[in-house]
Amino acid sequence: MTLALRVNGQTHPVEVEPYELLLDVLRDRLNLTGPKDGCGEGVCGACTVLLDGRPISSCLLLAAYAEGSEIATVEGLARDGGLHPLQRAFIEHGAFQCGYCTPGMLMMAKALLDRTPRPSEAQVREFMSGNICRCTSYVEIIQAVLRAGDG
Amino acid sequence: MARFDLSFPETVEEACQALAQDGSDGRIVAGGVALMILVKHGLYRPRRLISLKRIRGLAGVQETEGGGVRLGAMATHHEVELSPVVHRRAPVLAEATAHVANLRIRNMGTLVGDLCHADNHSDPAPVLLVLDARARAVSARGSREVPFAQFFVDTYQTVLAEDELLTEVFIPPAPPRLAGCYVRFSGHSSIDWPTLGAACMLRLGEDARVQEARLALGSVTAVPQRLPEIEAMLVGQALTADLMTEAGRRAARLVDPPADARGSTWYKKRMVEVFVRRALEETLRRARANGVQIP
Ligand SMILES: Cc1cc2nc3c(=O)[nH]c(=O)nc-3n(C[C@H](O)[C@H](O)[C@H](O)COP(=O)(O)OP(=O)(O)OC[C@H]3O[C@@H](n4cnc5c(N)ncnc54)[C@H](O)[C@@H]3O)c2cc1C
Ligand code: FES
Ligand code: FES
Repeated sequence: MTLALRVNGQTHPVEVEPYELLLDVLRDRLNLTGPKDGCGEGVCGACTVLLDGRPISSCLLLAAYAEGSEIATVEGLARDGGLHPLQRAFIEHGAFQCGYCTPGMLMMAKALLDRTPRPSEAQVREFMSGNICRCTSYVEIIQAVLRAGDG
Repeated sequence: MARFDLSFPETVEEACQALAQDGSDGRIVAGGVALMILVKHGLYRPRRLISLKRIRGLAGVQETEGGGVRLGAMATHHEVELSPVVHRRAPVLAEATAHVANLRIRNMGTLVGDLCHADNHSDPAPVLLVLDARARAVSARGSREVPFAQFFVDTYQTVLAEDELLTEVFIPPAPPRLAGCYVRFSGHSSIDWPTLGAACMLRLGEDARVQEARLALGSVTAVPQRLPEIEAMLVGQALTADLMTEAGRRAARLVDPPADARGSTWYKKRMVEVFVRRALEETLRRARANGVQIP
């Protein structure tokens, strides 16, 4: 089937098989390798992208389900060569080691800040609780999200 | 990953036709969360998936006449969790759906898909039992209503026939003075499937005696179950600490949970004892907060 996928503000016509998942289409067809395949079953959040502003696990979403929605991946965060405030805060706080979870963490945090620009620490912890960092950079990640929330 | 076809009917009738035609080759897909995991693990190889996504009438949550709730088959956990109608009319359901998985899964997975998948660890299932909820099952042959008390046959098995799909769930209007809660425990992290869940609803009289009691357990039996014996022992009684403790003890004797990664049979029975008591205590606390005077 041919899909017209809106990713980071651009429409991409892509030919996909009906059984393909959004993560694979983003990575293998559109060369957007920001979203990562971690657990592949909805647990870790490495594959997090936003669908109309809502975080989802692209490892479990049929690609055809994303048609008609705005898909946002980590590649769309930086604008005109300038990093997004969240990206800058992650660097400042050293909120990663290997970086595998980072694209997912960033998109999750973006979903939070878009809805709640100045979250409390408790809100950050609750909202980010479904994203796993194997290197356990949690303290720095929470600090970075709080800092980005300060504007 | 297995290869399959995917179709997007636009009406319930079209979906029913497709199911009837495809026989055992066809299967409904809602959010696809549960199905995609099965497919990825090679546990299920679908031939044709029939998606409910583009059927307009299946979206959302509505209040019914008289103050009940209608949940469409495509309502996600997160929609249910946030719905003002659910908060007003069946807040215990919002409480249970908020415990499901993580936010991403709650944005993708549907409540009805959770019930049709019929994993016995479902969080919402015991709550629908104490809400006396029912489902509408539709096929090319016609339509019927199924109370959730009769919906679950075994783990991963429901009464739905191969050609049937659920279009909606109805929660009847709650009688006045009904208070309730859902309590659950997860041994790994709060976003994991529960070790057990207990749902409770109580109606207390002016004298603070129990007029009606509804209790259900999830995760510790092959299908989520009401506990009629325990409900019966509570009716007409004042909810003393001793009575609540005794209710927990008796509930533990009624179940025989299998030992697995979440704990031994002995451990789970002890947890039932504690969580049935806690569900009663918490419901009593809420009834009190709602203005029932406890002498
Ligand atoms: C990481 C993770 C953690 C989870 N943790 C929890 C948890 O803590 N508590 C909990 O309760 N659940 C939990 N779940 C389960 C999750 O809630 C369900 O998988 C999800 O809600 C299923 O809904 P779906 O719309 O994706 O169903 P689908 O995958 O689309 O369908 C599931 C099954 O139901 C059938 N079906 C779906 N809709 C209909 C319909 N309208 N009529 C007839 N048949 C239908 C399908 O044919 C399929 O067999 C978890 C899942 C994941 C991935
Ligand atoms: S890879 Fe999708 S949630 Fe882990
Ligand atoms: S930085 Fe390595 S997994 Fe998070």
